[in-house]
Amino acid sequence: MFKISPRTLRALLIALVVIGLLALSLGGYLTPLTRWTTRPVLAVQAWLARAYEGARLYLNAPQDIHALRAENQRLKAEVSRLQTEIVTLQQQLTEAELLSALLDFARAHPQNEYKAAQVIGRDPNPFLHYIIINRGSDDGIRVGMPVVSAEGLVGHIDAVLPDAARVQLITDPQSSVDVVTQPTHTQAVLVGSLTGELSLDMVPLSAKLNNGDLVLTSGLGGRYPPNILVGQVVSVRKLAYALFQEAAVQPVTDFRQLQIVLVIVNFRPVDITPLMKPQEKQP
Amino acid sequence: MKSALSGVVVLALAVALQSAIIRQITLLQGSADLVLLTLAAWYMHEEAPGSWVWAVIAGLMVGTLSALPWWLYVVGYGGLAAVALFLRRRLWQTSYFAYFFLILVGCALTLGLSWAYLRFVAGAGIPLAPTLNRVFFPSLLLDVLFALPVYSLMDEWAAWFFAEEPAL
Repeated sequence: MFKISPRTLRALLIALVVIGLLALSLGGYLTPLTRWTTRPVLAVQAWLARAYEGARLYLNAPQDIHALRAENQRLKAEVSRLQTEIVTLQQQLTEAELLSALLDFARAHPQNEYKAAQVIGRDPNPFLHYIIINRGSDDGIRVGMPVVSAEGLVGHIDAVLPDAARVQLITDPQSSVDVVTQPTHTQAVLVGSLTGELSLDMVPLSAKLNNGDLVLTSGLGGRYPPNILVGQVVSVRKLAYALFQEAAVQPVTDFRQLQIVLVIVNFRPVDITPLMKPQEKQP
Repeated sequence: MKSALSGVVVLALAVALQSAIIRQITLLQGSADLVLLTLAAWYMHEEAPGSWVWAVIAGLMVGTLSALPWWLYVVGYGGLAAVALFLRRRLWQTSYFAYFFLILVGCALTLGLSWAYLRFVAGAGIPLAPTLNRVFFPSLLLDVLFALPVYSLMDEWAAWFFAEEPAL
Protein backbone atom coordinates (compact mmCIF):
# COMPACT_ATOMS: atom_id res chain seq x y z
CA MET A 1 0.00 0.00 0.00
CA PHE A 2 1.27 3.33 -0.94
CA LYS A 3 0.72 6.11 1.38
CA ILE A 4 -0.87 9.39 0.22
CA SER A 5 0.55 12.36 1.85
CA PRO A 6 -1.84 14.90 3.35
CA ARG A 7 -0.48 17.50 0.96
CA THR A 8 -1.32 15.43 -2.10
CA LEU A 9 -4.67 14.62 -0.65
CA ARG A 10 -5.40 18.33 -0.21
CA ALA A 11 -4.38 19.02 -3.80
CA LEU A 12 -6.57 16.24 -5.06
CA LEU A 13 -9.48 17.54 -3.00
CA ILE A 14 -9.04 21.05 -4.33
CA ALA A 15 -8.81 19.72 -7.88
CA LEU A 16 -11.98 17.72 -7.36
CA VAL A 17 -13.78 20.76 -5.94
CA VAL A 18 -12.60 22.93 -8.88
CA ILE A 19 -13.60 20.32 -11.43
CA GLY A 20 -16.94 19.93 -9.69
CA LEU A 21 -17.52 23.68 -9.66
CA LEU A 22 -16.55 23.89 -13.34
CA ALA A 23 -18.91 21.08 -14.17
CA LEU A 24 -21.71 22.70 -12.18
CA SER A 25 -20.97 26.05 -13.84
CA LEU A 26 -20.92 24.56 -17.32
CA GLY A 27 -24.14 22.80 -16.54
CA GLY A 28 -25.76 26.10 -15.51
CA TYR A 29 -26.40 25.05 -11.96
CA LEU A 30 -24.37 27.92 -10.50
CA THR A 31 -26.17 30.75 -12.37
CA PRO A 32 -28.49 31.74 -9.49
CA LEU A 33 -25.58 31.68 -7.13
CA THR A 34 -23.45 33.74 -9.55
CA ARG A 35 -26.25 36.22 -10.02
CA TRP A 36 -26.79 36.53 -6.27
CA THR A 37 -23.12 37.14 -5.61
CA THR A 38 -22.37 39.48 -8.59
CA ARG A 39 -25.41 41.75 -8.20
CA PRO A 40 -24.06 43.74 -5.27
CA VAL A 41 -20.68 43.98 -6.92
CA LEU A 42 -22.15 45.25 -10.15
CA ALA A 43 -24.31 47.73 -8.30
CA VAL A 44 -21.31 49.14 -6.52
CA GLN A 45 -19.39 49.23 -9.80
CA ALA A 46 -22.20 51.08 -11.56
CA TRP A 47 -22.45 53.61 -8.75
CA LEU A 48 -18.70 54.19 -8.90
CA ALA A 49 -18.81 54.61 -12.68
CA ARG A 50 -21.65 57.12 -12.44
CA ALA A 51 -19.90 59.03 -9.75
CA TYR A 52 -16.72 59.16 -11.78
CA GLU A 53 -18.55 60.28 -14.93
CA GLY A 54 -20.39 62.96 -12.98
CA ALA A 55 -17.19 64.24 -11.49
CA ARG A 56 -15.50 64.22 -14.90
CA LEU A 57 -18.34 66.13 -16.52
CA TYR A 58 -18.43 68.62 -13.67
CA LEU A 59 -14.73 69.25 -13.95
CA ASN A 60 -14.71 69.51 -17.78
CA ALA A 61 -18.05 71.30 -18.23
CA PRO A 62 -16.82 74.92 -18.64
CA GLN A 63 -14.46 73.94 -21.41
CA ASP A 64 -17.16 71.91 -23.17
CA ILE A 65 -19.73 74.71 -22.99
CA HIS A 66 -17.23 77.14 -24.42
CA ALA A 67 -16.38 74.71 -27.20
CA LEU A 68 -20.06 73.99 -27.87
CA ARG A 69 -20.91 77.68 -28.02
CA ALA A 70 -18.11 78.28 -30.46
CA GLU A 71 -19.27 75.32 -32.54
CA ASN A 72 -22.85 76.58 -32.40
CA GLN A 73 -21.80 80.01 -33.60
CA ARG A 74 -19.78 78.50 -36.39
CA LEU A 75 -22.69 76.31 -37.47
CA LYS A 76 -25.12 79.23 -37.32
CA ALA A 77 -22.82 81.28 -39.51
CA GLU A 78 -22.54 78.35 -41.89
CA VAL A 79 -26.35 77.96 -42.02
CA SER A 80 -26.74 81.70 -42.71
CA ARG A 81 -24.15 81.54 -45.47
CA LEU A 82 -25.83 78.52 -47.02
CA GLN A 83 -29.27 80.13 -46.81
CA THR A 84 -27.92 83.25 -48.50
CA GLU A 85 -26.37 81.07 -51.16
CA ILE A 86 -29.69 79.25 -51.68
CA VAL A 87 -31.55 82.55 -52.10
CA THR A 88 -28.89 83.80 -54.52
CA LEU A 89 -29.05 80.60 -56.51
CA GLN A 90 -32.85 80.72 -56.60
CA GLN A 91 -32.68 84.30 -57.88
CA GLN A 92 -30.15 83.28 -60.50
CA LEU A 93 -32.35 80.35 -61.50
CA THR A 94 -35.37 82.63 -61.88
CA GLU A 95 -33.30 85.08 -63.88
CA ALA A 96 -31.94 82.29 -66.06
CA GLU A 97 -35.47 81.03 -66.73
CA LEU A 98 -36.56 84.55 -67.65
CA LEU A 99 -33.58 85.04 -69.93
CA SER A 100 -34.20 81.66 -71.52
CA ALA A 101 -37.81 82.65 -72.23
CA LEU A 102 -36.64 85.99 -73.64
CA LEU A 103 -34.11 84.15 -75.81
CA ASP A 104 -36.90 81.94 -77.14
CA PHE A 105 -38.90 85.05 -77.98
CA ALA A 106 -35.90 86.63 -79.73
CA ARG A 107 -35.32 83.45 -81.75
CA ALA A 108 -38.97 83.42 -82.77
CA HIS A 109 -38.62 86.98 -84.11
CA PRO A 110 -35.15 87.01 -85.70
CA GLN A 111 -35.89 90.12 -87.77
CA ASN A 112 -35.64 92.31 -84.65
CA GLU A 113 -32.60 93.38 -82.64
CA TYR A 114 -33.09 93.40 -78.92
CA LYS A 115 -31.55 94.99 -75.87
CA ALA A 116 -32.45 93.40 -72.53
CA ALA A 117 -33.26 95.70 -69.64
CA GLN A 118 -34.18 95.24 -66.01
CA VAL A 119 -37.27 96.85 -64.50
CA ILE A 120 -36.04 99.04 -61.63
CA GLY A 121 -39.11 101.04 -60.74
CA ARG A 122 -42.57 102.27 -61.52
CA ASP A 123 -44.11 105.68 -62.02
CA PRO A 124 -44.83 107.12 -58.55
CA ASN A 125 -48.30 108.28 -59.64
CA PRO A 126 -51.06 105.68 -59.13
CA PHE A 127 -52.98 106.94 -62.17
CA LEU A 128 -50.19 106.02 -64.55
CA HIS A 129 -48.95 102.64 -65.77
CA TYR A 130 -45.30 103.24 -66.54
CA ILE A 131 -42.15 101.34 -65.63
CA ILE A 132 -38.55 102.49 -65.33
CA ILE A 133 -35.82 100.34 -66.93
CA ASN A 134 -32.06 100.43 -66.40
CA ARG A 135 -31.11 101.13 -70.03
CA GLY A 136 -30.98 104.59 -71.53
CA SER A 137 -29.58 106.66 -74.33
CA ASP A 138 -26.05 105.46 -73.52
CA ASP A 139 -27.23 101.97 -74.51
CA GLY A 140 -28.81 103.14 -77.76
CA ILE A 141 -32.35 103.37 -76.41
CA ARG A 142 -34.48 106.00 -78.14
CA VAL A 143 -37.97 107.38 -77.57
CA GLY A 144 -40.67 105.35 -79.29
CA MET A 145 -38.86 102.01 -79.38
CA PRO A 146 -41.22 99.07 -78.71
CA VAL A 147 -40.72 97.02 -75.56
CA VAL A 148 -41.66 93.36 -75.30
CA SER A 149 -41.46 90.56 -72.75
CA ALA A 150 -41.06 86.84 -73.26
CA GLU A 151 -44.84 86.58 -73.55
CA GLY A 152 -45.64 89.55 -75.78
CA LEU A 153 -46.05 93.30 -76.09
CA VAL A 154 -45.29 95.47 -73.06
CA GLY A 155 -45.32 99.05 -74.37
CA HIS A 156 -42.98 101.63 -75.81
CA ILE A 157 -40.21 103.95 -74.63
CA ASP A 158 -41.74 107.22 -73.49
CA ALA A 159 -38.72 109.13 -72.17
CA VAL A 160 -34.99 108.50 -72.02
CA LEU A 161 -32.22 109.45 -69.60
CA PRO A 162 -28.54 108.55 -70.15
CA ASP A 163 -28.79 105.38 -68.07
CA ALA A 164 -32.52 104.82 -67.63
CA ALA A 165 -35.71 105.01 -69.61
CA ARG A 166 -39.42 105.24 -68.93
CA VAL A 167 -41.78 102.80 -70.65
CA GLN A 168 -45.47 103.45 -71.17
CA LEU A 169 -47.28 100.14 -70.68
CA ILE A 170 -50.14 99.22 -72.98
CA THR A 171 -52.37 99.13 -69.87
CA ASP A 172 -51.93 102.87 -69.28
CA PRO A 173 -55.16 104.89 -69.62
CA GLN A 174 -53.52 107.03 -72.31
CA SER A 175 -52.21 104.10 -74.32
CA SER A 176 -53.68 102.98 -77.64
CA VAL A 177 -52.31 100.26 -79.91
CA ASP A 178 -53.49 99.33 -83.39
CA VAL A 179 -54.17 95.61 -83.37
CA VAL A 180 -55.64 92.85 -85.47
CA THR A 181 -57.44 89.75 -84.24
CA GLN A 182 -56.69 86.25 -85.42
CA PRO A 183 -58.21 84.30 -87.10
CA THR A 184 -61.02 86.80 -87.77
CA HIS A 185 -58.63 89.50 -89.15
CA THR A 186 -60.56 92.32 -87.52
CA GLN A 187 -58.77 95.64 -87.15
CA ALA A 188 -59.24 97.43 -83.83
CA VAL A 189 -57.66 99.80 -81.35
CA LEU A 190 -56.53 98.36 -78.03
CA VAL A 191 -56.86 100.84 -75.18
CA GLY A 192 -55.74 100.72 -71.56
CA SER A 193 -57.65 101.91 -68.53
CA LEU A 194 -57.26 103.18 -64.99
CA THR A 195 -57.64 99.65 -63.64
CA GLY A 196 -55.08 98.21 -66.06
CA GLU A 197 -57.70 96.28 -68.01
CA LEU A 198 -57.40 96.17 -71.79
CA SER A 199 -60.26 96.51 -74.23
CA LEU A 200 -60.77 96.66 -77.97
CA ASP A 201 -62.30 99.86 -79.22
CA MET A 202 -63.49 101.14 -82.59
CA VAL A 203 -64.67 97.73 -83.77
CA PRO A 204 -67.62 98.07 -86.18
CA LEU A 205 -70.74 96.10 -85.31
CA SER A 206 -70.43 94.19 -88.55
CA ALA A 207 -66.91 92.98 -87.77
CA LYS A 208 -66.40 89.43 -86.60
CA LEU A 209 -65.06 89.08 -83.10
CA ASN A 210 -65.14 85.91 -81.03
CA ASN A 211 -64.07 84.87 -77.57
CA GLY A 212 -60.64 83.29 -77.72
CA ASP A 213 -59.44 85.33 -80.71
CA LEU A 214 -55.77 86.20 -80.48
CA VAL A 215 -54.87 89.91 -80.50
CA LEU A 216 -51.67 90.93 -82.31
CA THR A 217 -50.18 94.25 -83.28
CA SER A 218 -51.22 95.23 -86.80
CA GLY A 219 -48.36 97.60 -87.57
CA LEU A 220 -50.80 100.38 -88.47
CA GLY A 221 -49.95 103.74 -87.03
CA GLY A 222 -46.26 103.01 -87.29
CA ARG A 223 -45.67 102.78 -83.56
CA TYR A 224 -45.25 99.02 -83.20
CA PRO A 225 -43.99 96.32 -85.57
CA PRO A 226 -46.70 93.92 -86.74
CA ASN A 227 -47.50 90.44 -85.41
CA ILE A 228 -46.44 90.84 -81.79
CA LEU A 229 -48.80 88.94 -79.53
CA VAL A 230 -50.74 91.16 -77.15
CA GLY A 231 -53.48 89.03 -75.64
CA GLN A 232 -56.69 87.13 -76.15
CA VAL A 233 -60.30 88.23 -76.41
CA VAL A 234 -62.17 87.03 -73.32
CA SER A 235 -65.56 88.66 -73.79
CA VAL A 236 -67.40 90.57 -76.50
CA ARG A 237 -70.10 93.16 -75.81
CA LYS A 238 -72.29 94.13 -78.73
CA LEU A 239 -75.14 96.59 -78.18
CA ALA A 240 -77.68 97.14 -80.93
CA TYR A 241 -77.83 100.92 -80.48
CA ALA A 242 -74.06 101.42 -80.23
CA LEU A 243 -71.84 102.39 -83.15
CA PHE A 244 -69.06 100.04 -82.18
CA GLN A 245 -68.75 96.78 -80.32
CA GLU A 246 -66.36 96.36 -77.41
CA ALA A 247 -64.27 93.45 -76.27
CA ALA A 248 -62.27 92.76 -73.14
CA VAL A 249 -58.75 91.47 -73.73
CA GLN A 250 -56.66 89.38 -71.37
CA PRO A 251 -53.01 90.42 -71.86
CA VAL A 252 -50.43 87.67 -72.25
CA THR A 253 -47.93 89.65 -70.18
CA ASP A 254 -48.29 89.77 -66.40
CA PHE A 255 -47.51 93.45 -65.87
CA ARG A 256 -47.27 93.10 -62.08
CA GLN A 257 -44.45 90.56 -62.35
CA LEU A 258 -42.33 92.29 -64.98
CA GLN A 259 -38.62 91.92 -64.16
CA ILE A 260 -36.74 91.85 -67.44
CA VAL A 261 -37.92 93.24 -70.78
CA LEU A 262 -36.53 93.48 -74.30
CA VAL A 263 -36.32 96.75 -76.21
CA ILE A 264 -36.53 96.37 -79.98
CA VAL A 265 -33.72 98.70 -80.98
CA ASN A 266 -33.83 98.37 -84.78
CA PHE A 267 -37.44 99.51 -85.11
CA ARG A 268 -37.97 103.14 -86.03
CA PRO A 269 -41.46 104.34 -85.07
CA VAL A 270 -43.28 106.65 -87.44
CA ASP A 271 -44.97 109.70 -86.00
CA ILE A 272 -48.17 110.20 -87.98
CA THR A 273 -49.53 112.94 -85.74
CA PRO A 274 -48.86 115.72 -88.30
CA LEU A 275 -50.93 113.79 -90.82
CA MET A 276 -53.84 113.52 -88.40
CA LYS A 277 -53.99 117.14 -87.22
CA PRO A 278 -55.59 118.68 -90.35
CA GLN A 279 -58.36 116.07 -90.19
CA GLU A 280 -59.05 116.85 -86.56
CA LYS A 281 -59.43 120.54 -87.35
CA GLN A 282 -62.20 119.81 -89.82
CA PRO A 283 -65.68 120.48 -88.45
CA MET B 1 -28.31 125.30 -47.19
CA LYS B 2 -27.78 122.42 -44.80
CA SER B 3 -31.52 121.84 -44.68
CA ALA B 4 -31.71 121.77 -48.47
CA LEU B 5 -28.84 119.29 -48.73
CA SER B 6 -30.40 117.04 -46.13
CA GLY B 7 -33.67 117.37 -48.05
CA VAL B 8 -31.98 116.13 -51.22
CA VAL B 9 -30.66 113.06 -49.40
CA VAL B 10 -33.88 112.19 -47.56
CA LEU B 11 -36.18 112.89 -50.49
CA ALA B 12 -33.97 111.02 -52.97
CA LEU B 13 -34.22 107.99 -50.70
CA ALA B 14 -37.99 108.46 -50.40
CA VAL B 15 -38.43 108.78 -54.17
CA ALA B 16 -36.31 105.66 -54.81
CA LEU B 17 -38.29 103.66 -52.22
CA GLN B 18 -41.54 104.97 -53.63
CA SER B 19 -40.69 103.96 -57.19
CA ALA B 20 -39.06 100.62 -56.42
CA ILE B 21 -41.12 99.22 -53.55
CA ILE B 22 -44.04 101.28 -52.24
CA ARG B 23 -45.58 101.67 -55.70
CA GLN B 24 -45.88 97.89 -55.92
CA ILE B 25 -47.82 97.70 -52.65
CA THR B 26 -51.24 98.53 -54.01
CA LEU B 27 -54.77 98.46 -52.71
CA LEU B 28 -57.03 98.32 -55.76
CA GLN B 29 -55.26 100.95 -57.89
CA GLY B 30 -54.16 103.12 -54.97
CA SER B 31 -50.72 103.28 -53.44
CA ALA B 32 -49.12 105.26 -50.64
CA ASP B 33 -47.13 108.41 -51.40
CA LEU B 34 -43.95 108.14 -49.37
CA VAL B 35 -42.68 111.51 -50.57
CA LEU B 36 -45.86 113.21 -49.39
CA LEU B 37 -45.62 111.47 -46.00
CA THR B 38 -41.96 112.46 -45.65
CA LEU B 39 -42.74 116.07 -46.47
CA ALA B 40 -45.72 116.18 -44.09
CA ALA B 41 -43.67 114.65 -41.25
CA TRP B 42 -40.83 117.11 -41.87
CA TYR B 43 -43.08 120.15 -41.95
CA MET B 44 -44.85 119.01 -38.78
CA HIS B 45 -41.58 118.98 -36.89
CA GLU B 46 -41.42 122.09 -34.75
CA GLU B 47 -37.74 122.76 -35.34
CA ALA B 48 -37.87 122.27 -39.12
CA PRO B 49 -37.27 125.51 -41.02
CA GLY B 50 -40.44 126.85 -42.58
CA SER B 51 -39.17 127.00 -46.14
CA TRP B 52 -40.50 125.76 -49.46
CA VAL B 53 -37.20 124.21 -50.46
CA TRP B 54 -38.10 120.63 -49.53
CA ALA B 55 -41.41 120.83 -51.45
CA VAL B 56 -39.67 122.14 -54.58
CA ILE B 57 -36.94 119.47 -54.35
CA ALA B 58 -39.56 116.74 -53.91
CA GLY B 59 -41.60 118.06 -56.84
CA LEU B 60 -38.59 118.16 -59.13
CA MET B 61 -37.43 114.68 -58.15
CA VAL B 62 -40.81 112.99 -58.57
CA GLY B 63 -41.49 115.03 -61.72
CA THR B 64 -38.26 113.76 -63.29
CA LEU B 65 -39.33 110.17 -62.74
CA SER B 66 -43.02 110.49 -63.54
CA ALA B 67 -44.74 110.84 -66.89
CA LEU B 68 -46.76 113.77 -65.58
CA PRO B 69 -45.22 117.27 -65.86
CA TRP B 70 -42.82 118.21 -63.08
CA TRP B 71 -44.62 121.46 -62.28
CA LEU B 72 -47.72 119.49 -61.32
CA TYR B 73 -45.80 117.89 -58.44
CA VAL B 74 -44.14 121.17 -57.48
CA VAL B 75 -47.58 122.79 -57.23
CA GLY B 76 -48.99 119.79 -55.33
CA TYR B 77 -46.21 119.51 -52.80
CA GLY B 78 -45.98 123.31 -52.62
CA GLY B 79 -49.65 123.39 -51.66
CA LEU B 80 -48.94 120.81 -48.99
CA ALA B 81 -46.11 122.98 -47.67
CA ALA B 82 -48.38 126.03 -47.63
CA VAL B 83 -51.05 124.21 -45.60
CA ALA B 84 -48.39 122.82 -43.24
CA LEU B 85 -46.83 126.22 -42.62
CA PHE B 86 -50.29 127.73 -42.12
CA LEU B 87 -51.07 125.06 -39.52
CA ARG B 88 -47.76 125.64 -37.75
CA ARG B 89 -48.47 129.35 -37.45
CA ARG B 90 -52.04 128.89 -36.29
CA LEU B 91 -51.63 125.99 -33.91
CA TRP B 92 -49.85 126.41 -30.61
CA GLN B 93 -48.50 122.90 -30.81
CA THR B 94 -48.55 120.59 -33.82
CA SER B 95 -50.20 117.27 -33.09
CA TYR B 96 -50.87 113.95 -34.73
CA PHE B 97 -54.28 115.28 -35.67
CA ALA B 98 -52.63 118.07 -37.65
CA TYR B 99 -50.31 115.53 -39.26
CA PHE B 100 -53.18 113.32 -40.40
CA PHE B 101 -55.13 116.35 -41.57
CA LEU B 102 -52.10 117.41 -43.59
CA ILE B 103 -51.89 113.94 -45.16
CA LEU B 104 -55.56 114.11 -46.13
CA VAL B 105 -55.11 117.54 -47.71
CA GLY B 106 -51.86 116.55 -49.43
CA CYS B 107 -53.35 113.34 -50.83
CA ALA B 108 -56.40 115.20 -52.14
CA LEU B 109 -54.23 117.92 -53.61
CA THR B 110 -51.67 115.74 -55.43
CA LEU B 111 -54.16 113.14 -56.68
CA GLY B 112 -56.73 115.80 -57.56
CA LEU B 113 -54.21 117.72 -59.61
CA SER B 114 -53.06 114.53 -61.36
CA TRP B 115 -56.62 113.53 -62.17
CA ALA B 116 -57.54 117.00 -63.41
CA TYR B 117 -54.48 117.15 -65.66
CA LEU B 118 -55.08 113.69 -67.11
CA ARG B 119 -58.77 114.28 -67.60
CA PHE B 120 -58.87 117.84 -68.91
CA VAL B 121 -55.42 118.44 -70.42
CA ALA B 122 -54.20 115.01 -71.56
CA GLY B 123 -57.70 113.86 -72.50
CA ALA B 124 -57.54 110.48 -70.76
CA GLY B 125 -60.95 108.99 -70.13
CA ILE B 126 -60.77 108.66 -66.35
CA PRO B 127 -64.18 109.20 -64.73
CA LEU B 128 -64.41 110.75 -61.27
CA ALA B 129 -66.27 107.95 -59.45
CA PRO B 130 -63.75 105.17 -60.20
CA THR B 131 -60.99 107.63 -59.37
CA LEU B 132 -62.41 108.14 -55.90
CA ASN B 133 -63.24 104.48 -55.29
CA ARG B 134 -60.21 102.82 -56.80
CA VAL B 135 -57.44 105.39 -56.37
CA PHE B 136 -58.14 108.16 -53.88
CA PHE B 137 -59.63 106.29 -50.92
CA PRO B 138 -57.27 103.28 -51.16
CA SER B 139 -54.30 105.65 -51.48
CA LEU B 140 -55.49 107.64 -48.46
CA LEU B 141 -55.88 104.45 -46.42
CA LEU B 142 -52.37 103.29 -47.32
CA ASP B 143 -51.01 106.77 -46.55
CA VAL B 144 -52.59 106.60 -43.09
CA LEU B 145 -51.13 103.11 -42.55
CA PHE B 146 -47.64 104.29 -43.43
CA ALA B 147 -48.02 107.64 -41.67
CA LEU B 148 -46.84 106.75 -38.16
CA PRO B 149 -43.74 104.75 -39.15
CA VAL B 150 -42.67 107.57 -41.47
CA TYR B 151 -43.35 110.15 -38.77
CA SER B 152 -41.21 108.19 -36.29
CA LEU B 153 -38.35 107.88 -38.77
CA MET B 154 -38.49 111.56 -39.66
CA ASP B 155 -38.66 112.45 -35.97
CA GLU B 156 -35.46 110.46 -35.39
CA TRP B 157 -33.88 112.09 -38.41
CA ALA B 158 -34.87 115.57 -37.26
CA ALA B 159 -33.59 114.88 -33.73
CA TRP B 160 -30.25 113.75 -35.15
CA PHE B 161 -30.16 116.63 -37.65
CA PHE B 162 -30.88 119.41 -35.19
CA ALA B 163 -28.67 117.95 -32.48
CA GLU B 164 -25.66 118.76 -34.61
CA GLU B 165 -26.54 122.42 -34.86
CA PRO B 166 -24.06 124.49 -32.82
CA ALA B 167 -25.61 126.08 -29.76
CA LEU B 168 -25.89 129.88 -29.94
